[in-house]
Amino acid sequence: MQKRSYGKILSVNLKHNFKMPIVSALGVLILTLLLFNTTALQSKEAARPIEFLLCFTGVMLLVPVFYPEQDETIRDVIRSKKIDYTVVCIVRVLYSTAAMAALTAFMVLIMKWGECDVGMDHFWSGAADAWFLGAVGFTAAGLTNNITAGYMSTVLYYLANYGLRNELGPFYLFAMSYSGSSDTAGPKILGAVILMGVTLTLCRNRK
Amino acid sequence: MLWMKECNKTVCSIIFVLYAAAVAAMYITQFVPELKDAPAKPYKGALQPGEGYGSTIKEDPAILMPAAVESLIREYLEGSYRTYPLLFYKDVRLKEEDSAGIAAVIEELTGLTKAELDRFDAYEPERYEAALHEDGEQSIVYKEAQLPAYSLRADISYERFRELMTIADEIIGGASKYSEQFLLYNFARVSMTYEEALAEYEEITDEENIAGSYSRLYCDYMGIILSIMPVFVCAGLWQMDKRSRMEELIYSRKISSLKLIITRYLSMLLCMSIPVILTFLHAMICIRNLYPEKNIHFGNAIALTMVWLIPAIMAVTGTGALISELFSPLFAIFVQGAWWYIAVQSNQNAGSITKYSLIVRHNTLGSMKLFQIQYGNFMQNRMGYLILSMIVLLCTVIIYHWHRKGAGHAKKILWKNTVRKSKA
Amino acid sequence: MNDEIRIAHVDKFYGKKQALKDVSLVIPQGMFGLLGRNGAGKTTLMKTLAALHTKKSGEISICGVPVEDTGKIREMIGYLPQDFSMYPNMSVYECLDYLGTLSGLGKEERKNSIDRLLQKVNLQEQAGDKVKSLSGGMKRRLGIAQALLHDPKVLIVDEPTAGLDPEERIRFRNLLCETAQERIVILSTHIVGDIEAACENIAVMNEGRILWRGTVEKLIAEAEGKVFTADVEKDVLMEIRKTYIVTGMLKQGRMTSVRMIAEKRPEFPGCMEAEVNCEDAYMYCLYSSGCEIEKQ
Repeated sequence: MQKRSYGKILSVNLKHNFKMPIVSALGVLILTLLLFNTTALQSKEAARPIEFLLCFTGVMLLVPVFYPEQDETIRDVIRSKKIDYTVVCIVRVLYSTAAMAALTAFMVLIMKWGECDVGMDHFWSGAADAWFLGAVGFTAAGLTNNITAGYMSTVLYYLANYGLRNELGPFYLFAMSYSGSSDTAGPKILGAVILMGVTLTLCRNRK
Repeated sequence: MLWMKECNKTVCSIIFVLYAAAVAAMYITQFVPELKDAPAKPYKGALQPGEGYGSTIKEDPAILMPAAVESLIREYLEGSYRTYPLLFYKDVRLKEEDSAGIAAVIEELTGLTKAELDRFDAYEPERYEAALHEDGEQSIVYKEAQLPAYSLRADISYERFRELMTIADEIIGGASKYSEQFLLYNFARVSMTYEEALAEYEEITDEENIAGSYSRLYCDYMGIILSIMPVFVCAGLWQMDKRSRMEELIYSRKISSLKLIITRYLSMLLCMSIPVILTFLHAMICIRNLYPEKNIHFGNAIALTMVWLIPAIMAVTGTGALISELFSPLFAIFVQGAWWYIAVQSNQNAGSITKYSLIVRHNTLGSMKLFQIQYGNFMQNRMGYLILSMIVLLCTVIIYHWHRKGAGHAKKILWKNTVRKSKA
Repeated sequence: MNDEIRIAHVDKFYGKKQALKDVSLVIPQGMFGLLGRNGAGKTTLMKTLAALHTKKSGEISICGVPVEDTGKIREMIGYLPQDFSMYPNMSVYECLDYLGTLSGLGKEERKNSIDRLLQKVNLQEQAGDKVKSLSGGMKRRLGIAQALLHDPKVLIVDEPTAGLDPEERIRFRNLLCETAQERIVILSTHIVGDIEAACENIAVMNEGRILWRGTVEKLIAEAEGKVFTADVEKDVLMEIRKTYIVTGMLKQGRMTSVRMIAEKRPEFPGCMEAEVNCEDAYMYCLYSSGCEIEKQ
């Protein structure tokens, strides 16, 4: 019964609340393909399109998680139901993450076909960047209850990466383009989980 | 007073707080470190290996022309051209007829014909090779590229050379090393002598120029942030009306669309200028403290900063308002985000001021002459954005008025959403 | 398990502002009306009962379940907020189907429930229409349908008739009365007519406190002998408006028929005791509890 409910929540949300995020994420993918060279690149160079632009797919997919319930009356109706609103948000985060991973994998495959020196490291690195950047926006949007603030904070975080490489430590987005290793993927994924977990908990308790 | 109320609405929004924080963060992390110490006077004496007085860009045809022509011949022979559409390397390979176009340019510059170029099969690119010495030690040796013998035709004027470079760039598809944007940056860079370094130091610290030097750097950093952040403030306010279902209430008021939109727009501009003015004032006070013995003239610096930054804020806010009204505030953020990304990535730190880029960069205290060379482009660029912002503002008024009269929303018309009229 | 809501000494704050002050109430089965001015704390109390707000102190139990047990509470309650709205691009059926899923209903259960409720609220023909294309009254009926989907023991409806035309209002009230036969229905409103027509038990709220509780008859009985009418001229009318609480005025030629509240019969010619209606009784309740009432 419970499983079927999750299935229904998933299908309804995919049908009604996924169009704008997936179209904008595809827009980012297309922009990346248009703006960057994706053929015959060395490992470090190949990380650039993934880390410098494709990471915005995470923003496009994760920031709008709270968007359908920005209207307080809709939120109240949803929150008054038996299945916790947090569950709805988690379902959205999960399918958005799957879509983001698929887009990153697609990009890595295209680069592979373009004879770039890419591998799983690029996938993990790109997916972790996208997830972490998305989580930053998700947190801002959730805590301020304002989706614009969510997008804005991701741009600020992205800009901070240009000047604060050392200060950001493992959360530096362009780590693979800089060092050639995907070591920071783990901390970024963990960081994103913590950020989103804290946000969902705070939003759940906000009454 | 409506404008006071609009200002109040802007300043009290969370988005504005984030905007002010972003401006402050950019200023503190990027510009304030430049204010800690005055630049050091160049030291005269024998230079150690690896030391130097830095480099500068000098628009000297005697340096620029041979370097650019050599590069063009080399790329023709390699059959691939480096382009930097977003400062990221992109390899371009030309079709036969386009290659012939490049060969024609080379022929006009050097007299080398296409047949001669195509016959030359001894071409080798420049490279570093490992060399084994007699004593068994290995070292890395630089080998120059092997090119056919040629010389630049003496009767080619500098103006014609620039025209030919533009033609070559167009054939390659833009953003090549020969583009207006990158030509000087790539081929006119020379090492500075002690005298030149001293002259640049004196230029920066000259009473007339100090404020200008620092304000160019200030505008360089602030221009980056002010070319994106205003769209959030604008979209946030538009979104607020939608969320609080205020749109129709406002539509029904007596106020004219022109007055309402212009008041909103000017209020946003005023509010968004406050953090900029405050950081600029702080910068000017710091500069005065950095050079206590100088009588600094701030007038030109203030004018330059206004000309540099106000068109950026106006254009971004205006475009944000137009797209928010025409489609949706979120769409305005996406469009501006893409525009900003392209602008921020397609500019060199200095020396690549074009007529069209939203962001103007000059990331150095010195190189005043380089800025002067590009001053025409700079003024055309900023005036262009000023005019653009006026046009989009006018369009916003018209669209708003159109919506107010009950015309359908553009996105609904364009995307043919299946809207059924309320049966109420 | 008992079939009532027990609220004991509940306090609730928004920052420094106290929205509920020592609220105690027992709500039995049937229609219960919560009457009060705008900003009296009705919505806050309703949201607290629906486990959408937390209280600072006090106790609330719904049919024996403490309100802190949000999982169980949400199974038991149906909630219709003021200004109900839903995802605008969903159809009426899709919307109910989704909300039914969130209420933990199975596929078959949802289908039966939705068909039954659409018929009950007379929205069968609009089942395929988008939510954004519904009129205000239809939206409100969709709201009550979504709140009843999981057959809750308690139905909480906040200002459901505000902004509806008289015909829709009557239809909506009747719908609520039908619903109340087998459950607790709490109706908050500032429209006295709704309470009079639909509720047996009521509570009057003001500034976060419960001022009065009991039946509508009792409220009316308390105001008996305190409501008067008179036909007066313009200058006398000015005097009356300064001195008494005026609940109604009807201009008839040179004279105005005025209805007022007073502890004892006002001493001017033609003044008679009037039959008390619910609106008079409500105004008298506010007046006798010492609430500030602006004299017109």
